[in-house]
Amino acid sequence: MKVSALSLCLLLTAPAAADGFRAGLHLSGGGVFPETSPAGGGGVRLGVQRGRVGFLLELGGFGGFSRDRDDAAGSRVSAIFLGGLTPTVEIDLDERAFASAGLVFGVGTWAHSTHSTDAAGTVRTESGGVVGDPFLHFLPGIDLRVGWRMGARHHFTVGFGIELLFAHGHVASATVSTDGAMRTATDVRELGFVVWPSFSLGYELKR
Amino acid sequence: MTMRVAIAAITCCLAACAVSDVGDTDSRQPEQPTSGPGGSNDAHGDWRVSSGGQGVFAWYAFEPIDPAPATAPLAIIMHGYGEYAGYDQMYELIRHTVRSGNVVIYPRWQTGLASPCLGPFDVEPCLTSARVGIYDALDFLAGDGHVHPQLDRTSYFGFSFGGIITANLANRHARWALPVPRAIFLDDLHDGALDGNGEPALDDVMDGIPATVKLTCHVGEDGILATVGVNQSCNALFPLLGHIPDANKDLVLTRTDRHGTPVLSSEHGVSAGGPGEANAYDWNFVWRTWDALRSCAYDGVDCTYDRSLGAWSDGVPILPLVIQDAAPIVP
Repeated sequence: MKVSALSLCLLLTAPAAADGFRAGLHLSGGGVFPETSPAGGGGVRLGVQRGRVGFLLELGGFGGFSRDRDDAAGSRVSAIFLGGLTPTVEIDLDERAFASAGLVFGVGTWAHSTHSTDAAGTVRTESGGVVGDPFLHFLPGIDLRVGWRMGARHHFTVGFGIELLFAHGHVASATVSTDGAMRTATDVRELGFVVWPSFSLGYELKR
Repeated sequence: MTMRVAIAAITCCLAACAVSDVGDTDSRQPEQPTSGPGGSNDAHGDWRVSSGGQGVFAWYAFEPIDPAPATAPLAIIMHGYGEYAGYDQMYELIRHTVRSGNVVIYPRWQTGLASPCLGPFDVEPCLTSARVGIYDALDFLAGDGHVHPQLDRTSYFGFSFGGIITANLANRHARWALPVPRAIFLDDLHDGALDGNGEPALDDVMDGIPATVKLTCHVGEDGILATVGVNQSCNALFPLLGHIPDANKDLVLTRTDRHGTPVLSSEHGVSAGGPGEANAYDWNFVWRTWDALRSCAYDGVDCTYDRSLGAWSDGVPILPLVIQDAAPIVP
């Protein structure tokens, strides 16, 4: 599977070297791999600052959908939606730069399918993900970010992040000749993953 | 059409939006006739159920037994969206079809809401799953000890999203070496409308369906046309069937009849029903039409038959079918 990216985020961070309360929001944009869907999201963050370390809890999510083609010859469709909580520790690298790491406790779903037909009429399809019964699945993962903040009490932030999610999904694949005489078809359970690199813009207030 | 309606239509293919069962009177529905198409005079006392395949490529095969014939016509029945295991969704239809002397293949083409295909956004993986299921079940039935399907006497039945799959498979049967469809019954076919109105998951051209086929496309007064829009379902398909003579195809509408109890509902799922859930709309409309289509296609028998739906126990006739040769049919 693949990923493409382009993100928008609004991060919240607080004065780097002071203790206090932090609150903020961010908007993010990027792409999801391996399904190669553009995806956007956002979140709100609340937390405290202790010296150079921030302890934050983010409530957020992201989603994306894409479809390349839609005909009998070939197409590719993917979709992902996730919401969840991300406890995060953020460290000030200097006056402006920061880096953070969080554990994602997400609930959501993702799915993708592809199919193609070659000149001989052989059809190849693959579908997978964690969409199923139930519709929503637990999607844990990790969230890593780096960014820069601008301003004093009110901060505007820019950053880059990458979220890596895991889930036990399935992949169904089939290759079928025109007359069906030659065919393979498997549907197996396996550990799936999604990577979401993103760019973010945010705002944060510290009291 | 709103997203809410679309999601409802695609996910609760059956009874989620059921009307109250209590009608205006205590009059009872008519009993199943003992003879004729849709009747209870089954030639076989029971069925033998087999299954195979993996995940989205799974299938069920049902063979008539007691007595078991050496061969039997083939019926391919396609469930609607939302049946991820088993065959309860179309249980009563399958059982009637089998006990009246047919082998049924029931591709279990779906294991989740978007597995293997994301609804109408890309129907092809679902077509592949159904197609693999049919091939595999045919291979299984060709083995020793089974009732061998008469491939030159094959009919297709599809409900809801299964109607979309059925129509597309029938359209591509020659390209994909599937049995030639002699009769087709489509019940309130619908792709969920998440990708737009007019059933875009249907093939753009349907001239691969033989002109000689006997075809009925059914919509309910309170089904997809009412809940999603009048340009959906059979009204979207029928304009693509101009090559089929009017004599060979019908566009049929049932209406909800609340005269008696339980009410005869025309909501999405008229043909669907688990064990013990068949009602007069099954035996007096769906099964009767389905049986007659096949008899007419295979043997030239039952090409005309009584299309009244019978009467409630107090003698009041059940609201009659609306039958047209061309779309649109309007509730």
